This record gives sequence, structure tokens and C-alpha cells, in this order.
Amino acid sequence: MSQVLVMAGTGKGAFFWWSDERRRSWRLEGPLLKGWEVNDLVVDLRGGEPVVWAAVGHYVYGATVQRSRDLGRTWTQIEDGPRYAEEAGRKLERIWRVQPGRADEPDELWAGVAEAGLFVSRDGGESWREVAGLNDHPTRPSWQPGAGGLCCHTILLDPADRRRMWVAISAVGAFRSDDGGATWQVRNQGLPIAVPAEAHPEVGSCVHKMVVAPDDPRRLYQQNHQGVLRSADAGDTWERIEDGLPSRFGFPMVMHPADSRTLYILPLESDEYRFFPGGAMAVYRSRDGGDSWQPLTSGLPADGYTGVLRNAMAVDGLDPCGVYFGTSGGQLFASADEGESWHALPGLLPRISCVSVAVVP
Amino acid sequence: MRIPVTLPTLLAHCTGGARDVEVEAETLETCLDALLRSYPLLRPHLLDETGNLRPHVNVFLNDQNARWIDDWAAVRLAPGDTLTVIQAVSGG
Repeated sequence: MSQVLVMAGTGKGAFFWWSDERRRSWRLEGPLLKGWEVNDLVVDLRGGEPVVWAAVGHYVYGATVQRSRDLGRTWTQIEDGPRYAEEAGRKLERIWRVQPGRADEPDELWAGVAEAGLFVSRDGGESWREVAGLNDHPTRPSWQPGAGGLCCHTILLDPADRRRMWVAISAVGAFRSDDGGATWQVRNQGLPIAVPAEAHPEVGSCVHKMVVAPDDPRRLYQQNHQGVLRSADAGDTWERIEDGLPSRFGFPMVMHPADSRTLYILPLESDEYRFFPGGAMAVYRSRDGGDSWQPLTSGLPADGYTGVLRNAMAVDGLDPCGVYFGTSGGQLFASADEGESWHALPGLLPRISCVSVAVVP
Repeated sequence: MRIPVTLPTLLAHCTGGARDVEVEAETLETCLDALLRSYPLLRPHLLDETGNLRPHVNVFLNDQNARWIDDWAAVRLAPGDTLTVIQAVSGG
């Protein structure tokens, strides 16, 4: 039987929980990468043997990518990792996302970073180079950081069209490339723009998280700082989908792996407070591609004065689908029944910055 | 001459697990160069994109903060000298 591995990155290391496919009891392991901020974790199964990639950082010692070939027992820092050239005049403050390439491109990985930028590796993560078409985008002089800095936090690959991909940058917006990353177009039409820049009024939308439907990659969804929206035309235009939500504000968004019309989000009470509205912890699920939303609260605390960060929610792809989220208060909540009921996993951790899950053979 | 270098625990993964290493150097400048050449994983942790020491990383030559030494190449090392890499801390 396969093992289910839930991984949480925190401000002081990574923590792993292991279970079988029933997902009833969990064994906690950690801290791994002790003392480091872990901003993203992903299990890469493309090469056959699982490889865990970690986006690691520290306010003194900077950001690097680390790799584990033994499911977290030992880690190796990538020597030639993402790093801005001196002449770029930018600093690599944090690595937000390590995104493995498509299933049939096992040597390709992408990394989204702050200061906002995109890096790519085409040799299995050994060396990385800047994606100049995005990093030197003509609108860049108008990119202004928000409260979360200026970070490229979401990287989406069209599963069918190798030339097409998207990224999202907080306080800037959504971008699409139709030529494998060489050139990029802003895709913010219909998105709320916080403060339009004079030179480039099309940028300035604060995307918090974005997902794409694998079975119909024209359909995109996003949790924005100022709303929840969807696109039916690969990001060319966006429309609001907020019926039934207690708040437009939130950070994570995940999609059911087998049903791309099922979405999960975690509305929070405005950007001033950033905790569950009235403390009532609730996951909101849509079964109809965002036409309507229903709260899921069974097993969740009614006094949950905490928040959830943008990378801190994940789904496992089993049937029924497991859903997981980690709070900035350091608790991990799990559902093994598509969100109908929830329970807390063992451990009270530092602030959870990312949650990821893998089914490991 | 061989100069002992002490590193923070957090960076021990860059040296195969050792906090105490030795490098061959004659000056303060060549000492840091030799350290980064011997243990290249340390480079992004100690230096920023411009090649300068990260703002909260301190390198002490014995009890002297090297950040306040202008010309590292002019500082000749002597037997018994030690280098310590230490994270800047403040109260709170």
C-alpha cells in the first residue's frame, strides 16, 4: 500500500506526517532542515524514485534550493541554484515556489522568487538561469511591492501545450507565455487593480494564488487580494465568482485533482485582520466551477483566530480526495473525505508557510 | 599557513557537517577566498549578489570584526590567528 506524505514548511524547518491511504492516523517527523525557513516543498516523482525539493531560506543567510533523495532524511544544497546576476541589480530574497516541469520533461524545473522573478533549470535542478522575458518585462518599472513583497509565487504549466504557461506575481498580476517562457503577456483584464501605475495601468493586481484546470487549460481560477475570479479563455479575461463567500479576501486556492470544477479556498476577514471571519474556521468549496460556494466546518474550531498563507493548502489526489491546510498558528488540519470532515494532525508547529502532499509508492 | 575557521551550526551542511575547518591562507582576503573555494556552498550564504558580505553576517579575525577593515589583502595572517563566521544578533 502506498504511503501518504504531508509536508509542512515553517519558519524553523520542515515537518512531515506519514499515513497509509486510509489517512486516519499520522506519524510526525521533524524538524527537518532545522532552523531554516522552508517556503516550498514538493515531491517530484517524474524520475521514478521520489525526489523532494525544498525552497529554503534565512533572513541572515539567504535563499537556496535543497534536494533530498531519501524522503527528507538527508538534504543537499544545490550549488548553482537560482541567483540574480550582479548586473541585474536585484536581490534573491526568497524562493517561493519550486515547480517540477511536465511529466515527460523530467529534467525541467521552474522556480518563482522574490524580488519577483522566474528561474528555470533544464538539467534536473543542477543549474538554474533567469527567465529574462519575464524578469526584464517591459512593465517591470511599474511593479510595486505589496505587504508580501514582490514575489513570483505561482507557476502553472499547460499540460497539453508545451509552449503555454502562466505565472502570478503578488501586487503585479497574472502573466502568460505562449512560447515556452521566451516572452510574456500581462493577463489582468477584468482583475481588480489596486493602484494603477501611470506608465503601465494594466499591472498592479495582487494575485494571491492561481490554479489551472488540467482537463481544460483555458479555465483558470484565482484568489486575489481583492476577490475570487475565474477565466474561461486562458486568462485573457476574468470574472468574479464570489456568491456565497463571507469575504473576498484570502490566500490559498486548490483544485480537486480529478474534478476541475471543484475548488477549495479559505476566506479570511479582510486584509486588515487576516484571520477566519469571526474566528469561525471554515473551508469554502465550490462544486460548480465557482458559481456557488459552501462552507465546510465539521471538525474545525469555531474560535480559530488564525490565518492561512498562500502556499499552505494542498490536495492528495486519492479517492476520496484528501485536503490539507496549515495555519499561521502552526496547526495542520486534514480531511480524508473531500472536505466534509476535518481533524488536526499531531503537533503544534511554528508558523506554517507551505503545505504539500504526495502519495509515495 | 593553516588558519582555523569556525562556522555557525546552521551552515555546517556546507562543509559536510563540520563547524570547524581549516584553510590555507596568508592574508585575510585569501583566507575568505580559500574558504569559499574549498566550500562553495557557503558562497550564497555569506555573500550577496554584489559579492559583499551579507548585512547580518560577521567575520571576525580573532576578536576584530573584519567588516570594519578596509583592505583585507593588506592584513597578513600570523600563526595562531583564527577566523569566526558569526550571525549578527541584537537584543529583543
